[in-house]
Amino acid sequence: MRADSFQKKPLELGGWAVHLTSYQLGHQYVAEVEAISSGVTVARANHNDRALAEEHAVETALRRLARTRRLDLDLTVGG
Amino acid sequence: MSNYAHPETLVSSDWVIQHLSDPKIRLVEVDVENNAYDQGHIPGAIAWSWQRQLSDQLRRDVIPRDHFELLLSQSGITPDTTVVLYGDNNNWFAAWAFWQLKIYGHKDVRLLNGGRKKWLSEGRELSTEVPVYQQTSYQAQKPDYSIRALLPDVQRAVSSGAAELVDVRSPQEFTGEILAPPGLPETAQRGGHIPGARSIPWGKAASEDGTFKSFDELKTIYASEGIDGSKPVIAYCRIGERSSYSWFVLKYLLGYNNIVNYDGSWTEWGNLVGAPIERGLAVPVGALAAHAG
Repeated sequence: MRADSFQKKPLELGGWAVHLTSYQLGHQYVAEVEAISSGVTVARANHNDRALAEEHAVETALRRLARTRRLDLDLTVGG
Repeated sequence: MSNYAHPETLVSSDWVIQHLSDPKIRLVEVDVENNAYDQGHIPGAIAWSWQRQLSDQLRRDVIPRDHFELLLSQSGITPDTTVVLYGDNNNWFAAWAFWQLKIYGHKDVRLLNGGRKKWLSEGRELSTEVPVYQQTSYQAQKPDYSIRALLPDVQRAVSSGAAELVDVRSPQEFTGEILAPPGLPETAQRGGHIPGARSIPWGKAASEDGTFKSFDELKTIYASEGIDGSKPVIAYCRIGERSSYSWFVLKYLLGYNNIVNYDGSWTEWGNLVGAPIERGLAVPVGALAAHAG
């Protein structure tokens, strides 16, 4: 068994830049959402249909990304 | 890989292919949990879970020596085994395992350059078969904590400036805009960074395919932030796994001495009562003297 048919696309989910990657692994498709700024794999899903695997990964990622708050800061040096 | 300070600590996918049936090699896929492993892994690889097997969740610590010995024994590893680690998330947790194996004195530990991501993208063979190896009676060395920073070490570094602090989290975590990587639970009360820390995100050391950048590129990246091996360095992140990755880069690829990993990281310092923090961008290296004045 080998991973093949890779697809990778940039998306914005809940205001966060992510990569949605999907590939075929045996009889399944695996979809992964990675937050670009941190490199964290936010969500992973698998399904025998690529679109559904991606949809489930995106749903999970949106739910998890919604937990991350952005705080207002004075972004001057040492501020 | 030849011009790294310790090229023997990295292996390529081709090297792994050539050693798949070598009984002296043990491949271990390491991640927070083993979901990815279960979907398919390098043939012959076993799985270690950072959460369940490599960290003491009651003490918040590395696993005690007897647990470590049991884990390696159950993995069919002897002190003479070459342990090759790889994983998802760009080898972060594999690097943590590398660091912990070194704490307990395992001699020959290596990382698969590029980790799981590169293995998959190259279309390499995967298996769902979980191998079982004959149990050993592994005996670990006394823990060597010279590669680990604990809170008092960091407090001394902040007050004396005797060591450089390298924050390897994302810029947004460093400034305090966010408290944890997007999508992960917020595990600190405050956002920001340890006073005086340089911001050198772990990802700067990685190429697009997940492999480490060249020696010269790495040297330039760290030198641009004033890290050139002339002073001790304390690397930290949120929970110590990304900083294990950068610790590996500084110690084994660049060959700098006196590099330690602060696994307490931001989840300790950011929650500490009375501990000073800074927010916002780092002071540029060239302006450090003026800032201090």
